[in-house]
Amino acid sequence: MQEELAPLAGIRVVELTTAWAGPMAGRTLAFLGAEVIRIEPASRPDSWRHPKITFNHNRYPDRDPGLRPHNRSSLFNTQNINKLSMALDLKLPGGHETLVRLLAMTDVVISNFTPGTLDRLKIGYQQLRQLKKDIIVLEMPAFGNSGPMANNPALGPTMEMVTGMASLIGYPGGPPTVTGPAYLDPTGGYNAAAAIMTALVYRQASGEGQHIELPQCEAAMQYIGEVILSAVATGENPQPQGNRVPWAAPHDTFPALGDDAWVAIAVTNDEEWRALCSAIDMPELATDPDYATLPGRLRNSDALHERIALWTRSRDKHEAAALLQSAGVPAAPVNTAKDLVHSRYLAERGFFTTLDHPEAGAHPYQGLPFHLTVTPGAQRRAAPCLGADTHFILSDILKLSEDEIQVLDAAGTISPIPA
Amino acid sequence: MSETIAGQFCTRMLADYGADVVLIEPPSGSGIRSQGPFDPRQDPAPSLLFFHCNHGKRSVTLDHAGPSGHKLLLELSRAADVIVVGAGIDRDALQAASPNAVIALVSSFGDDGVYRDWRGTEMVHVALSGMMNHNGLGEREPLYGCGNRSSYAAGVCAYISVLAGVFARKKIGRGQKVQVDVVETASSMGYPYATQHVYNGWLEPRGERGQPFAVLKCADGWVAVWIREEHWIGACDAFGLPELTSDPRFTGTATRQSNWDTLVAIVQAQVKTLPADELVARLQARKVIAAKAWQPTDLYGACPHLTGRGYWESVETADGPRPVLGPQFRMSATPRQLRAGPPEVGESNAAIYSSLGLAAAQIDSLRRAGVI
Repeated sequence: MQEELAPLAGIRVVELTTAWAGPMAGRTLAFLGAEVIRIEPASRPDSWRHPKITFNHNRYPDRDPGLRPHNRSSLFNTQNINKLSMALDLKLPGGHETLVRLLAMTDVVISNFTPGTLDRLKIGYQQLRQLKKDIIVLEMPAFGNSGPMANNPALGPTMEMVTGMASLIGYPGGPPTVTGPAYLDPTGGYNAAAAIMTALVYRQASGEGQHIELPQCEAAMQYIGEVILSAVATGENPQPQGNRVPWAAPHDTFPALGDDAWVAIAVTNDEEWRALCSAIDMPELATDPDYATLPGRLRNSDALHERIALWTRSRDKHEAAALLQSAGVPAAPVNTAKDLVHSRYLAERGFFTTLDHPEAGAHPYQGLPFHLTVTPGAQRRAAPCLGADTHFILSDILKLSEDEIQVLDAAGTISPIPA
Repeated sequence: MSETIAGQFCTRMLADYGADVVLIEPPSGSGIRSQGPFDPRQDPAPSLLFFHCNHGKRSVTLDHAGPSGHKLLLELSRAADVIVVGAGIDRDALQAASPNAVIALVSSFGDDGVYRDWRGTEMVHVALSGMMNHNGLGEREPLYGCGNRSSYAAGVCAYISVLAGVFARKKIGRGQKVQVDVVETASSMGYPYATQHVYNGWLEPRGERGQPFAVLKCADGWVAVWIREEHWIGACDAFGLPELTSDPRFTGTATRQSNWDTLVAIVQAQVKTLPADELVARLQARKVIAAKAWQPTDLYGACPHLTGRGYWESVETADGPRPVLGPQFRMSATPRQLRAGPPEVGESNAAIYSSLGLAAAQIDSLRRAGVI
């Protein structure tokens, strides 16, 4: 597919981000065709490059961190597809000036620094708009740029605690539980990309840029909006009951054939209940008054669970779910990472793309869910090695001379070697 | 004309940021109107799910199955820049009627492919996505999560796709079809366990994340803490356990991680009588990443942070004012617009159908025929 046909071809994005949420926002724009440049000081590389902490060998190809583990981390390499990397240390000679020169030629800046950092670096929105009138600057602080919690540091799991989500998830009587393991990060990434698309459409129509504050927790609260509004209306908070819920039964996971294999079944009405009874060959359950309606099924959910588990235990999770779905019962296998790699559904969507990474080798990478028929996005280029594109950006975009580049290099400003 | 949370949330975002959004409902009303949670203080109890996904929209009713209904649907499409539909709608016919429109299919699985006849719910979506497998404890069943989060995420991705299509109109001079599935969206939000698996065959077990994360029970609630190497001494100080800094079981990230359960047990015994807010304040004062597990009701009313940010807003509804969650993002030039509560079923029928050139008598006869 022609790159220039992608919707955001010609848009330049500079990312001052780390870990997952910020990179996921840039990755979304890069998928849609934007030129996304990561600024990566070698003294403080992206935390998902894991420059120092290599004790978890499961992150690397063949469980081998190699000589430059920061270029082989599965975490970084998944979230930075299609991007360029510029090694640039703002604290070393020429670093700040070089960044400012680049920002003056940039359409969108994504920052997940703490509130006030961009201003302290003299690259806040008010300063940048003097350099480029229609620039779009997005900041994505956990709790917003104001309010008593503005300066509290946070990560995906602690943000999930603050949104109210974690209190809704857990085993009966157990601790609040976070989602696997940092759901708020991709949530923040997509919310940020949505905000930037809003600004780009407005800029295309008006010629004006703007500043965007994306308070990640507040944005994520939208995802459980009706649950929060219900608690506000009733004054009562739902208590987690594992996978069971008060509005549907059975609504649970059941053990399937094999080790740690599960099938999820979600019966949302009486019609689906009768379909389930017939599918699992227990027609007597369908006429049993104890189970005929939701209140009965909720009251007798433990006994019901055992009856259904009798059927699921001897079956493959994929086959059990497919059989139930063909009978009109919402059900699914609880897929593992391996199941995803072999999923026919995801293959039909072209979800995985094999990309050749210069230091990690060729592997399939999980994709993004955007399908535009005329101007499609794509995963075209593996995540960059640290500083892989520094020279290209300095010479081809910023038009620096070889002598000027040499000065930056001698000062260590553009070193690609983590300190 | 979407009957899914994902589709209706996508168009609510469009309404938030200035679009004139018309919800096309069946004459009996959108199915989302009868999905909970409901507000029990009113009779009949209104759906808070419908409220949350549809404030700021207008509504027309239309049964588009028959020929006159289908003709009206094409008329409505001609006036649209964006059309969001569910599975089973003839998108080519809509595109032919409205070449400049971005036409988005937003659904659980799409209407082609292996799952085209499957039924989706939140648990089905997250089970298929691979995310559910990593929630909860290794020795227990996996946990699906809460609410309808995968649908909202897909709504956001549909919004991104739709705006990408709108943005591309300038370049290609026309609209196009786009598609977002809830299950593919949820699959894209998983931690990169699939990449780890193809990198080296590893399958991460549930509940063993090897991360410096703990959830601690305090006197009045739960506190989550994440202890980075540079925060270790500060964390011990905040716990009131300075002796741990010289304990060889906890020296260095890797050693500490391998004795993590022991460490958490010691800390848990120490903090169980502390108020949660006090523990969080102590930790945050030392730059340690920590947060209390908030309950949904903590987010409203007396919450000093959200109140301080002017987070909550409200709209007038037939039942009086109702709170609305604050904006997803705060834009300096184009702030979120909160125009009205959700529409009554078909409340804009007269206005919108007359704008298509229908006379009052024609609208009346369509209503009597059950088309609108």
